[in-house]
Amino acid sequence: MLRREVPVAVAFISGAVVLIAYFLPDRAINQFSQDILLWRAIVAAFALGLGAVNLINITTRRLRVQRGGRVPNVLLLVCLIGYSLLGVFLGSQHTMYRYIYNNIYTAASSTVFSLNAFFIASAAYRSFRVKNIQAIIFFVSGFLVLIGQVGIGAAIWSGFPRVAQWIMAVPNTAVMRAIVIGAALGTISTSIRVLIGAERASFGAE
Amino acid sequence: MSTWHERLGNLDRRLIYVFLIVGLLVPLIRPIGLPLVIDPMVRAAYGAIDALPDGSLVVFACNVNPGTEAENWPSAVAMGSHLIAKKCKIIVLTLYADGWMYADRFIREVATPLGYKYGQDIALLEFKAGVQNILAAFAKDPVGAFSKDYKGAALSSLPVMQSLKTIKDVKMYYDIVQLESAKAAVAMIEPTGVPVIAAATAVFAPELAPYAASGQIKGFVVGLAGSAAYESLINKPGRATAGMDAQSIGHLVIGVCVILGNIAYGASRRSGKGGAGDVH
Repeated sequence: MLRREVPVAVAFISGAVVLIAYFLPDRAINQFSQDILLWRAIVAAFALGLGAVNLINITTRRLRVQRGGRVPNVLLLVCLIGYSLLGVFLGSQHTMYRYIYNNIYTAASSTVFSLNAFFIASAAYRSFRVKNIQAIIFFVSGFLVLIGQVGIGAAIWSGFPRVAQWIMAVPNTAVMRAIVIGAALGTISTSIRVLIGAERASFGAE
Repeated sequence: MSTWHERLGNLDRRLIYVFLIVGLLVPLIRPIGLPLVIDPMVRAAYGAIDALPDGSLVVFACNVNPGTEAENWPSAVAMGSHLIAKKCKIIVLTLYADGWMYADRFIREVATPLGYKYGQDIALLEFKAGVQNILAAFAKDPVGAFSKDYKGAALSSLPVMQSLKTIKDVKMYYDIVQLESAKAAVAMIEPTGVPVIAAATAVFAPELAPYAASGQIKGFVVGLAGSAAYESLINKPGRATAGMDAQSIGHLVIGVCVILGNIAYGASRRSGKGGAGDVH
């Protein structure tokens, strides 16, 4: 019983206070709202810790059942635990902590992102098929924006940048507004359901 | 025996990789000098910073991460240098855990060489998790939302923080976009009357355009192209300008890939053999 009622009550009080504080200039409610917003930061920090514990659990289970290769799983655990301990005991200002971040994490992460260029080129060649009118519109607008935003487009024809800017400013903006407004309405309705306890999935229900 | 369109359609992907890498490397080694395209939104962001009175207090959300460094770091340097040229007092914060390394790097590699003193002209706030909530708390009470800087020093001991009493003291909020940070800035900071400008990777351009059209974002710089354009506006060509020829050729290679792939596909369909290289 309490497993459901308490979270619903906490969600309702927190949401209602922050919502009321948005419309009412009352000092006490605003102070309480400010406290709730900062408590949320603490909860979010706990969520990070929970994520790390979950990752450790999954990885150790994979190691036990020998799934997914031993080396990547051990490497993941060593990096996760080792780097966390380094940050906790030496501090994030320590030379070694910075060195690992700047010379291993940054380099590895940038490399993975850079590889996207090759996958995109290969996928563009093999998978992007102009089969119908929608695909033609998608291809033409994508190509014009792709070319129009870089110097080679302007070098070929000075009108390319203007066409790309028009596509971004008019059709793209119109469609994105529709998506944003739709998402906002969805967020409002979901928030109301969470506030009144109707959104059971948020509280662990199947 | 396979036809030309079958061979073209089933081109070895390693060949495509070679085309791309050559297309990217050659302009980096021997720049072509292609023209720079200056988007109106880049001009708007430049104009918004340029219109700030000297010495204004600006909040800079430095949400750069290693994956977006190639596109976002040049804009952080260019727009940050512009803020420094305007003698703005800069309060740096980071809404994501991996942003503070770049914020710290901005202070050491950009602000300090230009004569800024930590604590006096610029400060970096501690990291707190929870993007929307942190910005909501900051918009309501910027002094109460953070108590320490990233080194653990009390903010009240830093002279630059003395000019911040309410959100109205902030003359501009500059966000380097990561995930939902721009939406959070539009929702939490912009309604207080503080102008918001943004810089982001190119994939965020469609998402930012409606906010710029409505005036909720005063201007934005997206991708390496936007950063290069900004560098040209402040007459300081840097890393983005150097990479633009390579990006131009990269875009061209991808465009040509799509065209060639579709020529092979169309020819295969006409010959009645289905689509060469078709992925179902």
